[in-house]
Amino acid sequence: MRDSGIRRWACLAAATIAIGTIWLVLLPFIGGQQPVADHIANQQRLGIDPSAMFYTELEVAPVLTNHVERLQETYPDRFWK
Amino acid sequence: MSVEAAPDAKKATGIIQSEDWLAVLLGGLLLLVTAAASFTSRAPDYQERLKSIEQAQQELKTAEPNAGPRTEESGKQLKGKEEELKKLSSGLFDNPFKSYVAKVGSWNTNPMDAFVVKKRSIAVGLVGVFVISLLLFSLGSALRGERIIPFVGAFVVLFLLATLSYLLAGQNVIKYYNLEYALWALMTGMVISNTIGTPKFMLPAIRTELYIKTGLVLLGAEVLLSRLLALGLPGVFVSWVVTPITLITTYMFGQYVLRIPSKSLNMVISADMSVCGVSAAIATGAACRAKKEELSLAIGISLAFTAVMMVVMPMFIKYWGMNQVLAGAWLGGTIDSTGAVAAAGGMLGPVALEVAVTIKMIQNILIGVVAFGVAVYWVTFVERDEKGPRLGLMEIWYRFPKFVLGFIGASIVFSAIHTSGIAGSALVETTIGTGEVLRGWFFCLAFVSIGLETNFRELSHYLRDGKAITLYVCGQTLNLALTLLMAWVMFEIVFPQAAQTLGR
Repeated sequence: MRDSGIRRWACLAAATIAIGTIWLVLLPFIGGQQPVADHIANQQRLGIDPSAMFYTELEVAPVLTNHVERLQETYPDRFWK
Repeated sequence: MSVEAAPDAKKATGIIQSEDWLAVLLGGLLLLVTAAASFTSRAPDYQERLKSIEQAQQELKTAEPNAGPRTEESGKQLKGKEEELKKLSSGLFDNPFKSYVAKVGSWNTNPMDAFVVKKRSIAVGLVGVFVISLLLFSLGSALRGERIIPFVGAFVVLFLLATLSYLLAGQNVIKYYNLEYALWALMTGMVISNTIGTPKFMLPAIRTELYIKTGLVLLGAEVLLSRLLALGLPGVFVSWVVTPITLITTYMFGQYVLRIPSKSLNMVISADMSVCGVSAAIATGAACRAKKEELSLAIGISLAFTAVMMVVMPMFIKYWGMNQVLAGAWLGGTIDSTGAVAAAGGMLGPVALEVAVTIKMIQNILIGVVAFGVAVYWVTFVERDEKGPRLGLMEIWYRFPKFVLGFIGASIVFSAIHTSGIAGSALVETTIGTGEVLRGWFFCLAFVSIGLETNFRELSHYLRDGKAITLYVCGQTLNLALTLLMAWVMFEIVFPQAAQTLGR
């Protein structure tokens, strides 16, 4: 019973160490690689948050969609007929 | 989302005893208080601002026909003007809760960087979210006649785990490859439940359904039906014709060809793949009472494929030499999550980005209709006893997941306010600003709760036959083909002038 408890806590410690290593060592290393760093820098330059789940979470969405909507309202014939 | 069985509503002793109605009440209360507080906090120069917005809108509209071909410089100028307009609109009303809610930011090597967003500490925002959530869900517990003290203690730990999940999701590599917080919230919970086991003292705060359904009511306010026509008929056809066809075909393929044993798993995967990823999975999962493992699996598959599609599709499009309007429409209609759509569109250029995000926004709005349709279909056909008599209207009403009404109701009310004019539109944007942040936290709390209730073995059971992944791959292949075909027909054959106008 006690051994099982110790094993469970050891498992939690191992999982925590693994997560810590991945997030604090491996991911920063990957993020420093040129193609990945370029991808991140490009998204940051455009103000895009790729983790947005819904359009309201995307800060740039109103600017982009309002322009499209304005084009559609300015030239209704081109979008509706 | 432990929602395996249809609740026998006839046994419910009162409206508040139903988690669905409670979610409608709590979500509705939050929206009402925020909207009322924003409405009463009008800018001192409200009338002048209103005039300035009208003027700025008119200027942008009249400048459009004289605009030349799109260059990087003209794109920047346009963005500047649109941002100026956005600033004017957002200043019309002041949401007093805005400074008291925040999401965890991003970081690269030092996790502490995530607690400073735009050079400002988010400590107050995090404490604010904690206090609001605690008060709201404690009220929920009190209304149900449950003891509050055990709930408070458990909720503190649950909130800390949710914060940790957001922190993991904020690492730049994770964030910029669209591996959303839902995944890490599940992982955080599962690490605990599958090692030391979920501590008993945490059980009072594990209220997956309540967090999800309250979050969905808040999401309803963000589903603005007026945005449906943003891209004219091409937008409607690419988003609202292809998507239901793909959803229904994929579901039928899962039922009759793959013979997936769980209809709810089939539906959740079909919906998240064809509509808008995690948010669609959450909404349909709640509407068809999917098991928590099914929702976890659907989200995991969706996020994994989204990360790949986000990188591979722009490469393929560039190789093929597809024009930006067609490419944007294809990306917007196929990649599951909104953020990933924007990222992929941004890799191609400003026109592709605009079209992709607009198509995705229109598709996002479909989530309300899909959730409602799935809920009706489920109670009417799936949960019906085949040998029993046909269900009457009252029986359908008893079985219907009522939170969907809150979700749809919020959408209708906020859409009506949004279309009422400049002031209505600004009020909605101001109100949903805080609702969106709180909704994210509620979903995060829900996913940590799901993780705390999930066993690795239960999850691996669903992966063993490979049918879930096969369903996603086949459905997505159909989605890719149909969306490309429809986008091509719409923008190249039927409305080439629309494509020319967008791509100018």
